[in-house]
Amino acid sequence: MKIFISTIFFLSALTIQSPAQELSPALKDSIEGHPVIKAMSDEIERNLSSLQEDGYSKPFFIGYDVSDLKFSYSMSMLGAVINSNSTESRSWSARVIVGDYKINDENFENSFKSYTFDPGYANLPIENDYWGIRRVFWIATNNIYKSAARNYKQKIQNLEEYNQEYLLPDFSKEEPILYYDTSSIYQPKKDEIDILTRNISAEFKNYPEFLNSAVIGYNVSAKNYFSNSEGTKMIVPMSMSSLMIQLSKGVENMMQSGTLVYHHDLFEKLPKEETIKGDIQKMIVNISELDSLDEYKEDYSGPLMLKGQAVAEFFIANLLVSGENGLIASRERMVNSTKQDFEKHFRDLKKELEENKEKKIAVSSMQVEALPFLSEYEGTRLIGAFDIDGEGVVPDEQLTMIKDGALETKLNDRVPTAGIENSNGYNRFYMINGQVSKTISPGVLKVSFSNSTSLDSLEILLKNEAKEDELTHGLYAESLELTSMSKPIIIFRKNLENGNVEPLNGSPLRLNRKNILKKIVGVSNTYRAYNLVWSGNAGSVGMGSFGGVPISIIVPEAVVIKDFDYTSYKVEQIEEESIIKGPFQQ
Amino acid sequence: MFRQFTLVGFLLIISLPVFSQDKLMSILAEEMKREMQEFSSIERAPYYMEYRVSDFETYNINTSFGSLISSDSYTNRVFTGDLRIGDYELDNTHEVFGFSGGYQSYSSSSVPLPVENDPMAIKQMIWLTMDQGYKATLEQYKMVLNAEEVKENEEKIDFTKEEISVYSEAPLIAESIDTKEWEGVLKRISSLFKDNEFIMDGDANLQVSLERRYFISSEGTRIIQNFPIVNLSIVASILSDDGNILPLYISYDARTIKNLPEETQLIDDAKELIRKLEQLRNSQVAEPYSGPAIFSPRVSGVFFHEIFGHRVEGHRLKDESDGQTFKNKVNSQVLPKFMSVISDPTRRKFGDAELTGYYEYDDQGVKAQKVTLVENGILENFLMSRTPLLTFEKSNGHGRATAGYIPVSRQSNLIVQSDKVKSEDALRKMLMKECKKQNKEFGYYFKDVTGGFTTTDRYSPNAFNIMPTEVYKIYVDGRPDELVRGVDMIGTPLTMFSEIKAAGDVVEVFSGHCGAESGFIPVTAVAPSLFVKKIETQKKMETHIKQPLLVSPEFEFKESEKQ
Repeated sequence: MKIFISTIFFLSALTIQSPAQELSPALKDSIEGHPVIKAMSDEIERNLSSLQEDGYSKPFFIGYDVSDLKFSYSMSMLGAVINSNSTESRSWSARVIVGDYKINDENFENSFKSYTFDPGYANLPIENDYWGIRRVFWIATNNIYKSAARNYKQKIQNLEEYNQEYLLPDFSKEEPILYYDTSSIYQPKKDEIDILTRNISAEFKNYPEFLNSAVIGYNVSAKNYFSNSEGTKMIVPMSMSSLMIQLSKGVENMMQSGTLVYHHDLFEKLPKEETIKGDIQKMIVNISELDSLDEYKEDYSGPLMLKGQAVAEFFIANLLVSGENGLIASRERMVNSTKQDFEKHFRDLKKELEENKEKKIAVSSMQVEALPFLSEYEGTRLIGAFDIDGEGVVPDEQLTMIKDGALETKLNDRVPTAGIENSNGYNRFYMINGQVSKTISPGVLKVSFSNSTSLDSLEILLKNEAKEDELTHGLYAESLELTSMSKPIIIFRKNLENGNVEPLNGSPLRLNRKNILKKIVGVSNTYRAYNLVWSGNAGSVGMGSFGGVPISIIVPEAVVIKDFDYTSYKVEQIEEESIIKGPFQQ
Repeated sequence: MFRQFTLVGFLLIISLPVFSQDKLMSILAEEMKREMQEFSSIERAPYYMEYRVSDFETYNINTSFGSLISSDSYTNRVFTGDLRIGDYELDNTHEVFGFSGGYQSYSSSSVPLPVENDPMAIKQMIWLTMDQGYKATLEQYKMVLNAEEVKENEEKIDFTKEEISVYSEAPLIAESIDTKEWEGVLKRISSLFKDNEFIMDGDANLQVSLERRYFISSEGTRIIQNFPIVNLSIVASILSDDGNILPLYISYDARTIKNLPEETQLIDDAKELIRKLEQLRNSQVAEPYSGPAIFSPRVSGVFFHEIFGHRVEGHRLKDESDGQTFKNKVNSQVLPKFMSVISDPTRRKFGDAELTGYYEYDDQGVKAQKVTLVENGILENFLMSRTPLLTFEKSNGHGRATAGYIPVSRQSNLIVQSDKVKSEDALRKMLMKECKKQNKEFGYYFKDVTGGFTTTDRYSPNAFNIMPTEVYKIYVDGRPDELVRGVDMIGTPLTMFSEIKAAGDVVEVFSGHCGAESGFIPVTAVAPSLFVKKIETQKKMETHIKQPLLVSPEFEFKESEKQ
């Protein structure tokens, strides 16, 4: 068993490096005696020893999660708070597995399942009420177990019926750990979020075309408790703050023109009011300029240079995906279906196991490393840094994922996938809309290249590539600084004859393309870090959702990609005239 | 965690001059004046405009099996605007057939409004909403003008002219209460449910909603009213051996927290609820039945709300898709001669019970009125909003809606009266006599109810369903009354009215929230017990839920301690 302790304020705790320190007996007692951990552990023990339905196997693994959440939210327009609230809640989840590490009820879809009717979902007490917590897990364990036991029985029957060898274990064995971060849960000062959103939104009174712009600020903090039947017990706090400024141009119908987004783990560490107001000013100038530009309507196939945040978007779009070329591990579930489907599943899995080793997915100069403990890069705080994942697995300080363009490994949890039989510690806590769950997600990723060059040299490269393609111009694209992902985009057309650069209003770029990482022909020798809140495989988190997984990515400032197909598909936004004048117009 | 909240005392003071001190009303008035002036210069200007703003302050405490589940509060402000194009006789709301949807819907525009009284931000959001609302309303109006049916429709007016009202209640005066104390009270109540291993849900909850409601119209009406509602509920269910969840609940409604029962009373009521749950668990499932029955006052209240109240809501009688049960029955006998029914939103209390259907002005700014709907069995009137009927050309102050919805005629405090009452014993004797006559072994006594629903349209059976929670068989041969379960009461309205034969001398109040096309509104039904010659029941849906494999950890611990 590993023992791990952090008593430093948790922001600093994120910078703590392994190896683990020995817990003092007092702290060991402290975690084991914590009412939430104790309630979970006692109920796990009771269920593991006594829970069994006639005709079915006992559970072999039980894990419980409890998360205390503090959510503060404020939305303002024109200097007035429209909506403000602060809530506290406690969410929970339970995992009950029947079988063993090699074969269990998971990774199996029982499509012919007969449903059992059990008592329903119950809310967890928000106080550290020992019996109240046990009561909820008692019912949950009962219900999950009954379903799992039936699935397991069916799965074993299927395997026996089709005489199939089970190729990949269902659940990895990991060393139990005690981890206790004693920091208290962070919450911004009362009214702090209201004051900031109110003051920032008042700025739009100075911009009559942007009067309908909204400012949203929120902080979501959690203290996560986890206990499992293998002996892992941990208490992990986390926090995430965001300020989103939705710029809406148009008198009436609120056409969204762009979004400024800021993230930090502490609300008070977000940029100062004056900085944000300066960014708004800059953004409004950019949007106004963009609107005055001609639209780039051509279909183009040739070299493209991406600059600024667009580079981060490009790598996220192509790396943070599941599937054969992505960094997020995933596993096809065995389905209780026809014999043909069943056999196909195992044929595909066998093929995947044979083929998935060191597959070339990018140019030979490209490397990708996961650096989970890196908390700062050239003065930028990296919000993706973390110590331990949601299953109590401590990631390695450095994990090479792509080496010389070949895929070495993927981010994984305790469900083994082709070529990765153990967790590498990336089943991360995921906070969204008042709930905490877990998802496979990176913390800090660094994308680097063994051959890089200056920005000026990249411009020359772009020109040469375009000439080779017998084009009259080359393109480079960048997102407006500080905007959210993918919009709006300025396209710059570089004339090869005279070298003039013409800015144009471009369509959002479709950056996720098959084999596009193999088409990188040049990268800058300067790097920049970006923070964002990621919503798992669903992509970046939009305005309607609050939370996700904080991640950071370090990428070159510019890349040149050859053979990029650009298609203009801009959807016209038509602003309707108002019938009567508004109060500000008068 | 939210630890201390303020609760508002019940102070409704009629004090007209306070408008000048109410900043929000001033902002609304300025913007309405400005918008009406702006609209006046365009063709097809609205002839009527209204703003409604609801300022909400809500507190919730939820407990379950002795544990605090949540304790929080929030504030929000909702704007609902409406405007009408045309004139009082023919406007955009006129019913039009011949396009998708059949019935011309009312226009409504609703948005969250700043919770702070910032004039420019509020005005900007109202303008955006009303300007967009105008465009949608104009399209409706054009459709009305193009529809052939308009001239043939019998109703001559789309919107009634009403007296202009100016009324304001003083802001609610806050009184501080100890949230901790209430959390403790609720936890102590819900912890009582822990001692029975078959109880599946055992909750005690408190909700306090303080709403300050603003109404302003272009006709000049300005109303500010307070709607404080306090609800304490005790909700529990037990699992029967055959896998059915059997729920019971107790609900206390008041306009101030001081009017809730003392803790000792709440504890006694919760213990009684547990006793009934245990009885229910051991009771038999009733078979479908047709025969005599007695309704307790609470059941009668829900019965009248569903099968009578919804059918006298005036706007339905203008809707061709509605069953219009009573449209042509004015001055006809619809109930037994000994029965009368009134709707009285001006009544605050019945005995000690506060009536949550009380208000001074409705949500169209019309003064609330006591309306006699049925006098000695004869139908006299309908519940009217500003949508008139041919023979009922004025509102009687029953246009109601929650924030975000356009008002329609709705119920308030429905009071069922009988001028010939009988004792409970006499009702039982009547029941037994009727059972013998019908050759029935037993009749039913419906003692309590969770609610009901009814359908009034023409596309589905014009029926009702009342969902009782406590039902007894009353045996003709003198056996003790037997509690049964799994029964729903069903039927059709006109048949049921003709089966009412007598009313009891005990009258009680049922309070609840009624959901319909203009949202959920608080209502009450005050009624005596009733004897009906024939009712029909059907079986409730069964769930087949299984008892958990292990007993609850706390129950197991306590049992081991005993040994």
